[in-house]
Amino acid sequence: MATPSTQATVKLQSNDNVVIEVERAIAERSVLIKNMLEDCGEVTDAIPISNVNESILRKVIEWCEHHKNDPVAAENENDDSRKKTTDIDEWDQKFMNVDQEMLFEIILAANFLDIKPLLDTGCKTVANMIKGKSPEEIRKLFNIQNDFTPEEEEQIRRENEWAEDR
Amino acid sequence: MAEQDSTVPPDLPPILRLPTELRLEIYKFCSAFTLVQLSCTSVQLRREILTGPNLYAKSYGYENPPIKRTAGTYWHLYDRKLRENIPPHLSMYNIHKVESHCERDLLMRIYAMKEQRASTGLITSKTYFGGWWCCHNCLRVMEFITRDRVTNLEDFVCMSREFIRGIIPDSMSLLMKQSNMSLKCDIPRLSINRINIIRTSDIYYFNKLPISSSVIKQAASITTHTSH
Repeated sequence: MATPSTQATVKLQSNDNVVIEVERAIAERSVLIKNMLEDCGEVTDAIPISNVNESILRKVIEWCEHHKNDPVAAENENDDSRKKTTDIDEWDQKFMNVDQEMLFEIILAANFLDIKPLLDTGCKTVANMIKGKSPEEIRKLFNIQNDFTPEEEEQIRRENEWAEDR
Repeated sequence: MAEQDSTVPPDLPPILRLPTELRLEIYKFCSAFTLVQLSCTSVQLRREILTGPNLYAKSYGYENPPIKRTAGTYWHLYDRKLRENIPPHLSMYNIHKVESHCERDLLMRIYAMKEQRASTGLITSKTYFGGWWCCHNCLRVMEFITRDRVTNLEDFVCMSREFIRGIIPDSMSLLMKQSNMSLKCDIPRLSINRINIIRTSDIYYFNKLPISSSVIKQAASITTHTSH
């Protein structure tokens, strides 16, 4: 393993070739970058973030800046416990108040950069958008095509409808 | 970490452009009732939800095997046998509870009580009304069967153990002691394994019982509260 580096900032390069300099502590909210820096020691070149464009990268950095002092969740934390609530703090709600295209890009970027809390916030935001909506309303919200055959649709309707004698 | 597929067609809606693993992450934050709704949107989402490893079985409000929970005015049907042919996968029959009032509003909107034709001989009249019903107090989901069409479904609350313990413990325990009185008043007796419901206006019956004024006051305030 390389000698631990004391460098204060790192450069990140988006897939549209924009270089953004950020505090190392902020960049290390990403487990991917943190592991890379730990493995490589001092990094003077910009780190290519191949799957993320500039606007999404800036958005992710904004989230990391705001959450830079949050405690890092233990790796073996019970995976189910985090699924119990869809509460999102106020700042994160505002942060996630973007169009769908950007919201799903943030989820993809959080997944690629391995930023679990950001990924969870994105997923919770989508789950909250779905809650309380009928199948037709969900289709409309996400522009999903209804590709059930009429027979399949009827069967699903019957499966869910209350009936004493099935 | 999910692999991002660069061959995904750009005209797909954003949610379908996500790798399946990430959609599964989203589903994990959905209640069982929301998963039922999602599973009715498209073939792909249905397949993912119904076959996702351990997905819906761990969701909020899921119950398996479905337990018979009946409410309504057909009290004698409580002892009916468990229904056969309940779908082997997630369906409304597995929904024990919804997560929020917005889910309850949807349930009451799309699974409203409908006229049913009696065919098993259990119900003597030719038609009756049945459907899914959700208590606005404890958000439990149950089947509601009644002889006549009920238009004021909001005027019912569930007499679940939480409700009894949390809101009117004294008056209910008194009611249990006086089972004759409860029958006369058309208020069902408490049962451990079943959930009964009560018309909020029936809470006024408590006033006819020899109970303390504080309990009467409590019951009256509940009636006022639930009638809003």
